[in-house]
Amino acid sequence: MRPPASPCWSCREPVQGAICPGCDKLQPPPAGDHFSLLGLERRWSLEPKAVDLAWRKLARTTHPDRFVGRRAVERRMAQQWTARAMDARAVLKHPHRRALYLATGAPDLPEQGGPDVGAHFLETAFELQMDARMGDDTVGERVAELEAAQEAALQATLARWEAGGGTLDEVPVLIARLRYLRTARDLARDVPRPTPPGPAPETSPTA
Amino acid sequence: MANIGIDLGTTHSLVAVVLSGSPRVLLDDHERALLPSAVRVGEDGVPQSVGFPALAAASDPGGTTFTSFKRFMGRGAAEVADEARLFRYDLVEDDLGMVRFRTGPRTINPVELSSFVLRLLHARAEECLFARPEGAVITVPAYFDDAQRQATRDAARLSGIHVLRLLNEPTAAALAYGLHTAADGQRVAVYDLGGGTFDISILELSDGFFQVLSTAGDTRLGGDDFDQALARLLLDQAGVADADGRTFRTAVRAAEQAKRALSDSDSTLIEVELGGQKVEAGLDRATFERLIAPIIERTRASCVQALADAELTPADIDEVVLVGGSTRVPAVRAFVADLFGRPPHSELDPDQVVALGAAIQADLLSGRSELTDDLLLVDVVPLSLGIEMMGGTTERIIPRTSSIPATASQSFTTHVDDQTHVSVHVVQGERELAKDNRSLAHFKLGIPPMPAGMPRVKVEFSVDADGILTVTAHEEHTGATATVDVQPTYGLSDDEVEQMLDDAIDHAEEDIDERLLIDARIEGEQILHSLRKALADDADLLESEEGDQFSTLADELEAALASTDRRRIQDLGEKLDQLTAPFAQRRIERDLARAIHGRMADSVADTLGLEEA
Repeated sequence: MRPPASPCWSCREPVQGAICPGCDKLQPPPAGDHFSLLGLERRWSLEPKAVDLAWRKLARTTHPDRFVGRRAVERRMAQQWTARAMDARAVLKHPHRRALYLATGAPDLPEQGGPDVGAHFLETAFELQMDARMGDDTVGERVAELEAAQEAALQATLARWEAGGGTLDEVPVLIARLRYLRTARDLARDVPRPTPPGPAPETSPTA
Repeated sequence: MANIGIDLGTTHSLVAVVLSGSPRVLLDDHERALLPSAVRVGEDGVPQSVGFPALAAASDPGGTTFTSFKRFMGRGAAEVADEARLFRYDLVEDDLGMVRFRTGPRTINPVELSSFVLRLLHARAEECLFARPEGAVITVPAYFDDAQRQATRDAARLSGIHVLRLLNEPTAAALAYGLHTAADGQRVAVYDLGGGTFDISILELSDGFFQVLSTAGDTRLGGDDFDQALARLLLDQAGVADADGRTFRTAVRAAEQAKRALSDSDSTLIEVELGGQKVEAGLDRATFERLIAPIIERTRASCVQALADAELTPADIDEVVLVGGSTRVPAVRAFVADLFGRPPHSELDPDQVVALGAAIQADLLSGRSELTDDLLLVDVVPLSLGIEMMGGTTERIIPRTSSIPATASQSFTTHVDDQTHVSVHVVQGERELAKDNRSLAHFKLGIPPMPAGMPRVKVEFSVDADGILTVTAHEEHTGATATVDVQPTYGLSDDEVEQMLDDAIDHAEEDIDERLLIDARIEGEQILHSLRKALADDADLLESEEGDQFSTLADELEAALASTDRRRIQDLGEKLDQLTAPFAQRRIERDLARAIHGRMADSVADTLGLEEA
């Protein structure tokens, strides 16, 4: 997992980590993905705690607050290190973003467009959204059922991949489906139910 | 040499320092901690005094005493005209449209006024410490936008102070309390109710990190509102229906005195002459509390928002900290205790707690702190940063409550052939449409002419640990680059920023509809544009009836684009896309065949149409 040593920008001493052992200068952040930046293995199973731990370890040595009295070049590098580390933490801690990042290299689906979720699913999703708009109170339950199924498929795909079998091709599709379902669920939550027929409330305001 | 912490406040300012491991506020020759943020400028335009003497001279002729100039920092002249009238300042606009005040033959800007206050505090520190302070941490309200932060930094620079860091006020307060209350894993809510503004921040302390989870606020809500509500009641009792400015101010002063009295006792007597009418009224605390209850209640929405952004409930909060003079009002304390289900901390003087926190951060940044060897503060962006897209929508690049420092980039392309530049409009705020957000900067990036969709313009946003934004843009094929330190263009008042936040919630639905319509139109226009181009270039590839079918549908789409029927625009666009798919396929095949026969690979990419870079 250790990256090859490269010469320090200031004293040419070979450096492996963020700080030069020779002259104590901060080095520029390396190329590479979020996992390697935080010194984590590139895999699906990852405890949020482990991400936090790795992030803190890095931030402790590279945060701009540690370089307040130093030259501008080091302060700028500190800023780059920490900004990258913040981004890595945010992506890797969030299961769906981490899954997408593993599958596509980008942690988010495009706001519009996105993968083909299948005509059948699309129809179901639109039906749910429509029903939600109408105040149908079975929507919550139906959405929960579908969400559980997509989530299970997502977990299975990722587990299979991690065990060395199968691809992550389905991941964006499953996450896109979950996004449709979330829309339906939010609609169901926000649309007021039609008031059930019955006697008018007793405390009706009088003019 | 020591680092100092400065609270540069709207009504008063303070300086503090950590001495022998404990933070303390530095006093002036008269043992006073607070320095009124007031500057007296003579008729000749020359500053005469700062602080108490400036306030004392306020009603003297022959000059102007400036107060509350923090409200004008980093703001456009047009946006604060009303506020300037309230303070009777003679407002003028500089070349950049920013605020200046006329004082006799000269003008002075709020940044300069602030620098006089900073200079005096710096001198006080130098006297107390017998040495020139090395650097300073200066606090700003959490809701301060980029322009206001830059203005604060400029004021410090102007006064010869080396700024180590700009620190958000609620975060500073949490730090002041954090050191002696918080244990690992604790979550702290900071409730900061000042004279005119309200801020709430939620922080988490874990493993040596003080992480801000969220922040929210209301910039038109504070103790001044209590005074005004009570003043109106007094005017009613005096039978003054239409108070002039002077009478109203007299009533407000009486109200403020009564408010202070009621923080310590259960009732008070108000004696004041209003509109020639002597008013003598007894006021008990219960009556006062009924009067201000609706005002206090307005802080609830921001608290709920901050909790939601942090994905927490009140039960998850371990400690609540009070900041700001208005939190001395017992009803405010009771409200906070009820909201979070626990009594708030108020051991530290709410006027001093921000400066104490700033001193602690200044000490930590010295790298040789005795307080703790391992504490890092991580703050957030208070309002989303983004750019204006084609059609006027906002594309968020760094969302609000992102931890700082932060960088993010996004690539865009052009919509028109042979564009020679792209305009980048940087905005801050939560609304879907760019015009409803605060405009931070406009800049242009020159690019070589290329077909629409070809250029890849990468815009990178970078927010440093002070919360200040830098934007760079470059075109990736040619390497053309533009960098801007964001400077304010025109702007919005705090009120408007606040209004924008409120509106973003109120109008979320409306905004999204409008945005979707704009998106649908742009997509429809692009489909039409590329179809027409394709027909002009490759009409020979059309099969029998295709030409007529295409033009009928294209006409229908064109008509729909003029309407607001988003569904119809989308449906027709999709239909046209599907219908023309075989034709597009034939064009691609021919181009590929041509490419194989030696045409430049580039023009193939061009013909294929590079979409969304």
